[in-house]
Amino acid sequence: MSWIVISETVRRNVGNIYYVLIAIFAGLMTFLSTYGDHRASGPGPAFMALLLGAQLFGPEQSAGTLQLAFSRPIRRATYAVSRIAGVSIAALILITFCVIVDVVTAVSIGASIVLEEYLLNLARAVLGIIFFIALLGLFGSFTRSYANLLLFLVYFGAVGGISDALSDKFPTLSDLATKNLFPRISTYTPEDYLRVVSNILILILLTCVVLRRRQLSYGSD
Amino acid sequence: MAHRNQRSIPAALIALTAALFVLRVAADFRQWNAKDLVTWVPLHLAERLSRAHGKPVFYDFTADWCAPCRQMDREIYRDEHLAKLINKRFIPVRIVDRQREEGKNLPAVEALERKYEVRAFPTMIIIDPNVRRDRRHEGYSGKKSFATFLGSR
Repeated sequence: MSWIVISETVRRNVGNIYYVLIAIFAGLMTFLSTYGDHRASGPGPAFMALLLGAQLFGPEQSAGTLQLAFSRPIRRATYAVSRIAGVSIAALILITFCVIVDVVTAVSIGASIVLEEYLLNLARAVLGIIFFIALLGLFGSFTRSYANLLLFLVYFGAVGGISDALSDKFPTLSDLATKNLFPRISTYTPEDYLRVVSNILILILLTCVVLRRRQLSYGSD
Repeated sequence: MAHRNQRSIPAALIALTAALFVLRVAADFRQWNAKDLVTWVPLHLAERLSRAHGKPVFYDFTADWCAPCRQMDREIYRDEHLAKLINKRFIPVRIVDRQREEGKNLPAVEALERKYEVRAFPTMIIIDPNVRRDRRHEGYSGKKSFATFLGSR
């Protein structure tokens, strides 16, 4: 891991005006849902991850700065892992802000907080976001500016559609596809946690493999 | 040499990914081979046994294509504690809907689904002859909420 890359990624994300706007929006949504007793933790993990993970590698390659980064004495894999870690930390900061808003709102209106359930929900949201960021990272490792977002949407549409189509004739296959290709946010057994963490690592490894082999042309788009 | 090193992937990452993958496959395999611990009673015996033992009937309306139903199978009916609770306190009956696969259900299944207005799967209904109001729960949202449903009056 490169702490320079991580800290620079976090700084760039957190210092971005759009990040601040997302934080305000997420905080407001969390406040409204807690106040309305829905106890959602703000905008869904996919939405947050999309906004933060969209610019992992693509925009840098299009601008010509990825080539510059890879000309430095840093392993490509280290760079990739550090970038994903940096964006994940930026997402965790956002989630922490939403949690604070949620807890303060809940306490102020006298709503109950069941600690075990709360922490489990939080763990699920965090893992879901990191999974989506890792997936965006993989797609970004071989595409240009923001094309990873399009691939992400196609991925979920395709996997969801195929899973639905298989569910009648091949329910076992459909179940396998859903279980292994989605982070399954709703309820988690210990096996589900293990599955999501394993998927995250596989995605990171695949990202490193793609970047390892990729020939980067010089200059921007 | 520097160029090759720059493109190499850390061995630790490969090892950790492989280890977690093996663990996950092993966990899936174990879950796959686990059997239901609930002793399901045939539909035609349910009411008679309910009267004889004074226990409520627990109907589980399910379908093979229903993913939350299969999740429930893994998490509830293969859980030693919950399965024991169901076996002890209820007469458990499993009703499998075959509408999608075969185009129609058995008449008894159709009648029961119509009687209890089953619109989604899984739907659990507890029929207690001693209590005026039947209990009903649609969908599956985790062990805790299921346990609450089993225990609620």
